[in-house]
Amino acid sequence: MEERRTILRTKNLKAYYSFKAFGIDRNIKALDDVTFDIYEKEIFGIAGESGCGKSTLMKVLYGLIKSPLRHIGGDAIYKINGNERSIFSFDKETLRKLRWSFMSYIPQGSMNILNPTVRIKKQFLNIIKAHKDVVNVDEAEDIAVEHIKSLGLPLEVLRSYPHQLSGGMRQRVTIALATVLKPRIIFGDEPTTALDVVVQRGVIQLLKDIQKELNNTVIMVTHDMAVHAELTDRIGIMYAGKMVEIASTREIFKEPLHPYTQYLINSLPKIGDKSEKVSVPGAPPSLANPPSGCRFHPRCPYAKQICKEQEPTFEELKPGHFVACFIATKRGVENG
Amino acid sequence: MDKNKLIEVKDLNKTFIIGGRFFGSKLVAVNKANLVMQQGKPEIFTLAGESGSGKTTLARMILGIIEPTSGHIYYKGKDVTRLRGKKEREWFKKEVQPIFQNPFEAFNPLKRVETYLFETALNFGIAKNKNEASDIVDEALKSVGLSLSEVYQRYPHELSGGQVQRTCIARALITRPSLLIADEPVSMVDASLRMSILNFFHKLKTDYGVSIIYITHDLATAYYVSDRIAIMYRGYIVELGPIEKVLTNPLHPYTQLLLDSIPKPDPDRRWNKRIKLADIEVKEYMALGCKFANRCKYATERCFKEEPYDVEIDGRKVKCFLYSDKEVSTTL
Repeated sequence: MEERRTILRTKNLKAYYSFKAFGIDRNIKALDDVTFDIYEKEIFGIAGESGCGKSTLMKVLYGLIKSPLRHIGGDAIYKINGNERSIFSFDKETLRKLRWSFMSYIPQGSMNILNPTVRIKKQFLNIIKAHKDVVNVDEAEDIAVEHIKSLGLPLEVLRSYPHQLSGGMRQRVTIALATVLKPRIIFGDEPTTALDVVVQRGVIQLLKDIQKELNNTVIMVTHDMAVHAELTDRIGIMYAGKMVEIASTREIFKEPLHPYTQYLINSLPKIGDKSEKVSVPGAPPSLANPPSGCRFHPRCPYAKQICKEQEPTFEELKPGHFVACFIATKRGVENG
Repeated sequence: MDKNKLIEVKDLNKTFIIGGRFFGSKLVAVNKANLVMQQGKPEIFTLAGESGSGKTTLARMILGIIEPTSGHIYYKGKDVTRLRGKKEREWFKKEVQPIFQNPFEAFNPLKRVETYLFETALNFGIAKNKNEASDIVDEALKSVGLSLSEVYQRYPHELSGGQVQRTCIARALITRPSLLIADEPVSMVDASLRMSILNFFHKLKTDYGVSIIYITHDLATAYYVSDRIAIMYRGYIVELGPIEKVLTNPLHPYTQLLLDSIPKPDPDRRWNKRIKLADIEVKEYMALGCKFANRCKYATERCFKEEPYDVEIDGRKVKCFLYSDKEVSTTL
């Protein structure tokens, strides 16, 4: 296998939502001590239930930190044209230039990114003109037409307003818009969640095609494990603001190490399998006051005394397979 | 009417008019829907289909929220589209209870959750006073694995998504319904808690004898929990039969496409074929003949001109000309 080059490294990244309620400072620890690498040319999936911090992670990585979200510590370092730069070192103008051209973002509801009163063509032109030194409108239009054609979308969409398109087509237009400047990193925040299965399949197909053609990195957040199985190369599992496991998609599905991941995988219903599935016992913890030690211990069937007292470190148990769990690392030591 | 049927939906139609009353175009959201659920044989019946297929409209008509354009719904032998008077309506509301998609929207965030439970018990005359009601409420909550002391004086945001959804179900159970209509009840619940709700539906069916109409677009959970399934497409029920048969050996081309498009939670079994998506959806609603013909690889000339009818084959009903030659008996 060729050597993998990192395009993004995060180190002990921490971001809290801080409020002042009734004179008391409250911190929602949405992202606590998250360390991982993302390589060039891979599709990296981030999974976890709602409120586990996966969207906050996206916001921080995309440079969208706004009060009450605050960066507390740690770093996220991008490799841009061979130079390593921290996302926190950029000023507004640099960030603006990087967005769409170096990294772009596909949100869940495509209506949030498309201007409802402007035709799709105009929206393409605006983005192209803001980032590229194009001489005239025709040149910009050529780029847009070329791009829409290469994605196999009908050219009529350029003349349409967003509301005239179906949900699936709108999502595909959003993806086209996000990739028109050939960014190196694409962030997708639940881009297929609101869609029907058949349309979802078309959108996943499109994302895969684009990644293959641009040879870039896709970071894909979704709670739907089946979408991860279909699309991603590696998966990071988040729980209560922490990264608890990272491994190749195959290993996550075939040999999950963290008890939480095991529950997630084993509780997936499958057609043709009527055996009883069980949910994770208990409820997700509050991030304002997370449990001591390992944050999963109140729900974990294997929890020991040490899990309540100490926080497990994020260790590489097998090559490329990271996990933060005392039970898993101990089992790993015994077996190996 | 036949008293052995819990519910019978007969030739149910709903037409919406989009645009103005005079210049608007008609959109048939539910087209000649027929389905029967037997009494004394509780089952979980899934209505599946993509958004806009009419599954929610059909469920709302059964609940009596939307009035059908034509057709009948018989509940325990009584035509519930023509209920007269308060008494009859109240009886029907007691018998058939809804569970909605987002449990946090079903409860007012500024009201304590138990107020809804007490209101239901008192308003339907299940309990005469608050003391009596608290026993009934507690019993309903216990059947969903909660208790009154757990939710007492609590606001919706203080409970987890799974707990709120279970409280919703408990509220629906207070009137001792025979039929629950659950519209996407687990799509807003976290993945780690989803299965507990579905397991609970199964328990309701076996232990309490409650039948459930489960509306979803998620065929994997439908397979896990239900006994029969109806696949809807553009207002039509295109395939209806036992879940095992429909989902493991689909006959209608649309069911086949739908099943093939579900991402499987297995990285070794990814898709290897490509699909074509519909470009403009409204066109399909207006199309003559089979609404799926445009995207169907088996489509013949007949499919574009004639409307397909139900064919009974292999223990199920399929609305497709592919099987009409082999028909054993068409619907009467």
